[in-house]
Amino acid sequence: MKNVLELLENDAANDASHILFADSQRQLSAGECLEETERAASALLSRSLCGHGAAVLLPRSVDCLVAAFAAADAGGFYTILDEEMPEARMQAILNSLDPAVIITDEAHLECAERMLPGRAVLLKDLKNHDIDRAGLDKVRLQMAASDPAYVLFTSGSTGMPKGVVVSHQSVLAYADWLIHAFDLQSDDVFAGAAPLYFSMSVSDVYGTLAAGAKLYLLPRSLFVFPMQLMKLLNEQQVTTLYWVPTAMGLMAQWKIFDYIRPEHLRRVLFAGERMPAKTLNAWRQALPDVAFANLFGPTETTDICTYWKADRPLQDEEPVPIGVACSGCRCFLIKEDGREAADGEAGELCVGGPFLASGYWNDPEKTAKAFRQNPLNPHYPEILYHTGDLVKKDADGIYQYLGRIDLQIKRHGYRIEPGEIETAAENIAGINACAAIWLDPEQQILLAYDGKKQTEEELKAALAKRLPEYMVPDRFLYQKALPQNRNGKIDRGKLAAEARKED
Amino acid sequence: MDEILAILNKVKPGQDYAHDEDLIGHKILDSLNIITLVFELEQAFGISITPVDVTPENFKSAAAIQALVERKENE
Repeated sequence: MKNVLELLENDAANDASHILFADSQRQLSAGECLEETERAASALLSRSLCGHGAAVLLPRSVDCLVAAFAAADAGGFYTILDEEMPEARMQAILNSLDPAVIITDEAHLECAERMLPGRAVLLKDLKNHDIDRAGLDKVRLQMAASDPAYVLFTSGSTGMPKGVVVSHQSVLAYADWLIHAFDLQSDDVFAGAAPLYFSMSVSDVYGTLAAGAKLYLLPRSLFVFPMQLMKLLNEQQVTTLYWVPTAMGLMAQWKIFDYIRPEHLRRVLFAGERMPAKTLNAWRQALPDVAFANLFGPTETTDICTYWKADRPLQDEEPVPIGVACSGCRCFLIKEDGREAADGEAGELCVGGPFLASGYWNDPEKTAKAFRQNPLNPHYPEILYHTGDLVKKDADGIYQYLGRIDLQIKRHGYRIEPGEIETAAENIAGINACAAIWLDPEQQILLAYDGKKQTEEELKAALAKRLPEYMVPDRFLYQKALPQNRNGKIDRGKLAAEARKED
Repeated sequence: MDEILAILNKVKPGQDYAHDEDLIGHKILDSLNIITLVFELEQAFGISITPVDVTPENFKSAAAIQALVERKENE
């Protein structure tokens, strides 16, 4: 296999009537999904997508997936945009990506046209096109497995989002690992909660395609109403959850399983941020027959590079392990001096193998910094992605996550570079210098700043125009001058302490 | 009613709770806000609110929340 679309083609060949994707509006069988994809892809052929991207500006839906698949089928790659992000950020992404088209719907057409004049197309129109079998076969023949399948933009420390380029072969290798590691079958049903512009959705979507299973896209708003959510899981006969710990924590806080049980659930996978053992224990106690696993990895390893199947009980205070390398992946813990960490010693998690992204879009400098030679291998070129995650091996050889080497924040599963918040804040009139700081026990982002004092409302409103909602700080701390440590850097620890003093 | 408004403003400040009739549809209250709000209501009124009570109808407005609290107080 060389194109991710072959997974869909296999599903359609195996059982065209099997329902693959559903949202609250409609559902698509494998045959229908393939037909819609091929129609839209045929329409895109004239746009010569090879080597170029298609931006997708659609609400989280089955249609959004069809648009993405169509781009991949037409020989290009896709970038799914967060429709709720501020237009300035979206424009910055589009300027860098320079996609051949932006696929959208009527509700977003005006915005799409404004950002990319002359390049907006309606998915509805694309789907009316006749299938050009010869044209599609030709681009398939010409494409390589190493071509990008998608470019996923994540927070960048300089303020500009980073585009992670992931190839077809990486997605295929990853999906193959996922279905085998968790024995996913055609009768499995995923309840997807992840946004489609977020790497966790890659597991939902391609795990579903590789297993010939079914993915139901949960409306995000349902997490407000836990009973309705659980009823829907039962109605849809959901067997598989892949959620962020925050969502699981909410259900545990509601003690939801005292009221209703997910009757068809077989496995619960989680990733995106640190899982408190207390939350995991609440789920395990309530659902003893369900398998649980902690998945760990950055967007740069497609989705995941290590995992831990919850095979032993944990104390509430214990850290939840991140486990072992995924089969086929190579993981090393490398110390600052370039040597391998001994067991029990902390080192940076560095990953090689087929799940690796190709690098960052339009950013050779950042690519060279993060994707570089394995310092333990002087014999031949072997690129490792340096994750920036500090990890150690415990006495049983199991990986334990310790923290970040840099300042990166993980919040509700979203990956945030404080630098992106700081760049946005520095552009607000009156702000001189600032620091975005993660307050871990409070699970809040603090923005400390100096310059002109402003109200919280003013700052929040100004930042909401520049940043996605999940990046907008929760708290603000005004200082006459930001304190510095001995190295002349902003003293983040001191600022966190100052903020807590104000409580 | 003032007490409900005060609690809402504590949970998520800066909203027009007195007039907004669709707090959920307008995405004013998210999943984390709701659980904090329920905790605050339980503390303030000495009531117990279960997930069964957490429905769009019961949380669509300050008045609806007030009605829920009154029902729970009389239980």
